[in-house]
Amino acid sequence: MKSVSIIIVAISVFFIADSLNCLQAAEKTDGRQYEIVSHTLANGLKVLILEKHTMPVAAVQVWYNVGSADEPNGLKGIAHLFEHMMFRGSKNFGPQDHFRLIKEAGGYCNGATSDETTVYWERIPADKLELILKLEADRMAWLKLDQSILDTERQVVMEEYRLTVDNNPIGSMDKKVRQFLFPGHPYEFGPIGRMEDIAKFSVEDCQKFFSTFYSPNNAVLIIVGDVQAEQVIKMAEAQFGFIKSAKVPGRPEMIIQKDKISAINNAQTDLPIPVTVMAFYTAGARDKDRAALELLFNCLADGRSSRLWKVLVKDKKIAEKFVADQEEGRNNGLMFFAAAHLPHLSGKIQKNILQQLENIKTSGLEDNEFTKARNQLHSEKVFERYYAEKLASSIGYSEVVRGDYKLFYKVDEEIQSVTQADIIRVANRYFNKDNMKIVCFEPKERNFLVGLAGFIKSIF
Amino acid sequence: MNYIKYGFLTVLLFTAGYTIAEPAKGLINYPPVNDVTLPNGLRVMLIEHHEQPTVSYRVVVRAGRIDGPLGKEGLADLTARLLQEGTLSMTSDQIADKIAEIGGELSISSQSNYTTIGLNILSEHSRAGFDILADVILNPVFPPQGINRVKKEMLNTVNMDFTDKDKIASNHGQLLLFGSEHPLGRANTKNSLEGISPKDIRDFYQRYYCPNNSMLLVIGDFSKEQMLAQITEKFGSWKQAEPRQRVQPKPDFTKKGKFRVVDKPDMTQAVIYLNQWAISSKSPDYYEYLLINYVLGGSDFSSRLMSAVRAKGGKTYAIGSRYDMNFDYGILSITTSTRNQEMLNTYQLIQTELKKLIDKGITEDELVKAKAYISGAIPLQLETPASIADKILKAIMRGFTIDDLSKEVINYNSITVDDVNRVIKEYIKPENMNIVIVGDAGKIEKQLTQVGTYEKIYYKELPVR
Repeated sequence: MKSVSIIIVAISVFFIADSLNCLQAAEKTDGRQYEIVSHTLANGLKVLILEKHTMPVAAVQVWYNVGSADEPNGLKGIAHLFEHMMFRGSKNFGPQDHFRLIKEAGGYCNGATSDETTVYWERIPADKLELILKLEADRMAWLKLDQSILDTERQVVMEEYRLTVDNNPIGSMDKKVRQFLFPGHPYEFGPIGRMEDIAKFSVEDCQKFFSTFYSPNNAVLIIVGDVQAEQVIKMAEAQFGFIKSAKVPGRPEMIIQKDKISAINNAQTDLPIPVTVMAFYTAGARDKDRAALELLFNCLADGRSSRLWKVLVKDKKIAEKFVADQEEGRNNGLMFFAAAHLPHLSGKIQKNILQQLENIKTSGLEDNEFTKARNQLHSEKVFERYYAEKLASSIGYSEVVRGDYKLFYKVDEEIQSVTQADIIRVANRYFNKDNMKIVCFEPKERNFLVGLAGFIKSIF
Repeated sequence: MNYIKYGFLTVLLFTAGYTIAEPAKGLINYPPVNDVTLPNGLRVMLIEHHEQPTVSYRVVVRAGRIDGPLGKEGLADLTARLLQEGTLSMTSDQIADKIAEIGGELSISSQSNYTTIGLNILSEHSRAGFDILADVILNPVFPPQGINRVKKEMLNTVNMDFTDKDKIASNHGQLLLFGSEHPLGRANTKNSLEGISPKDIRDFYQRYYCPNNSMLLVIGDFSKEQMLAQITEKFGSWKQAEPRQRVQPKPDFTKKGKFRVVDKPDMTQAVIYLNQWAISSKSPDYYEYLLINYVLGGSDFSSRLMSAVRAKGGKTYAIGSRYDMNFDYGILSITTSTRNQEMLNTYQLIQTELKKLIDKGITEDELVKAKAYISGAIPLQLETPASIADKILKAIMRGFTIDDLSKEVINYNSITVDDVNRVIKEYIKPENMNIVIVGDAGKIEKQLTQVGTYEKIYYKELPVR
């Protein structure tokens, strides 16, 4: 029920993947083929099943190919509010049944809206699968959109806005970064949308959104766990087969006019010290450089062994805190580095980050940096094999965002085969002036002593 | 009791050999645990789990904020974080680089009663990872530059926390409950952190980081004999010490609650936070209390609070109750946030739900559903080695055995509505709840006076005065 805050896809979805090694390992212990079964219903609903018989658990996810980027002007936030309505009753289930029935089964469910996708998920004991498919099919076919429930959920979403944006310094900075980087673009307001729009959504607006985007041919159903693929296909046919397909409008091409966006932007923050954000546009999940970029990001900014953390926080001590993130949509992405620092140090922070990036553009990475990144990413993937839910997310991501569920098998292999030449090419492609935007946040309340400390550091 | 399928039992025994329920009795059979105590007092638990080529190590040290001392708040956390800042043989960078090179994940977290040091690693690097883990626990040197940096990080967090409305609320709430003379009533401050000397850190480490005050659990793809040998090699000579007796809080179930307003101008929402003493995990009413919390606000959208305040009332994005329990005490808390103009209505809705719970109790239907969830959720809780390890360690820290854990569902199922309602009447006391409201006091003043008489504090002031 949350709107995924930072651009495009939640990190938990993005970094989850699996590899061929996994399949071999599982074959050994499991004695059967560990492979995704794909089946498309006549109405276009694609069903992807991965059997995993280690525990009597199943993960179910329905990925709809719609997100806040599909919202027309004046309806910013409707994809997310609509996601809330999906939990508030359909023809055969009452307005609080969805959560309750799943909870009674020992399971858990939720949903999340991002710029390009809306995902509904359940984690359940495997023998409760049929109930879950019934619930998912019922709301796909016959969602109830009631005025009084819409008004209640509108209030809930407005509280969510106040909680995560208005009264949350990080959330409000996140929103400002979007507005600077994507003016007039479908990413501008993010899944949480605009308060003034949220106040106006009508039942008709929701109905129209539902009939436009929530058809079986615009969705992918994923089931991972202790299930039999053949049975699941039968169940899916029985539960979803009757739902009619519909024509879904394509997403308009989303172009970011980088040259019209100012290189340096200034804003205020509720945090007690300044924050400098350096952001770089990237080409998204379907680009050939995707794996190289992930490996590069890992070396630059992931953890206490990464270059930028060491330089900014540990060695030069000019950043109080350093965070970074990498987000991808289908054809657009963003990588950013953010440092909280004492006043007057923004220039030094920028200079040091740029210096590291320039080094990589000419000399690439050290050998042991390749080893670290490859081993960390590989290890992450092995640990993720334990979780039916993470595997389901990875399959969904491969299919819906990257465009082919079979890429799920290749994630580790892609990372392992990144070369030094790839790294240098990718660094030069992205880390340049035209592609870089900076946002400097200054605290609303200035503290003289803190300012003085920063000033002295900026000199030495 | 069909939460573990029978048909998959043989496969499971063969591959992993754990977690099989006997449907008729409701017993959950945990994986076999080799539970040995080394001569120096270190308890070691080994669980073989061969689904994937991984090993997860967990070291739990019985040291936390509760161990104080007063005025040095942050000492336990600082000591824990400094473990990875340098050892006799490795610098901080070397530790971070070596762990990264073998793709390991080292995590250190210090809570109020315990500190946990964990390592997840692929089997092929298990030994190399273990050596680093042992080194940071056994041979930390607490170098001055590490102390300075981690202290600075913690000071920054103190400053950042003044912008976090929920953290502000819980800091004040802890103080109202524990009082200013108990370490758990006191949050970290600039003064408390700056007052910690290198000697304080070394003393704290020497007093609490010792085998007779710790346990080590390993789960994953290894052979027990070899694992025990490598543990004995590294930890066998770890020297015993005498940890100081803890000053346990003494819950007073009859004490009237206090009401504090924390004024944070310009907020468009008010945070409502309530807390009171709850029973400890050794109480005979423990399972009843867990069920009360489940029905009241511990079960997300199935809870009474979520239904009344969010689903029907539209007053909040999230509301819930929490039952935090330890071997010696427990805390029940309720948190939510709502737009300024609905503060009083939301507060009253919570009170109405509490009153209803006390007057009418829970229903048979609610109990049946709560039990269904608890037994249904068991396989989900045991899906991964890390979650098995966490469940076992938590239980032990609360004073339970693995045998108790395996009877969890049986224990819940023996409880009746009357049992639960008796415990509600005994322990849920709205008049004894502490109340903290964080918000723009000027804008919600009229509503606040209707809640009761309060003391008002500006948000940047320290909770302890």
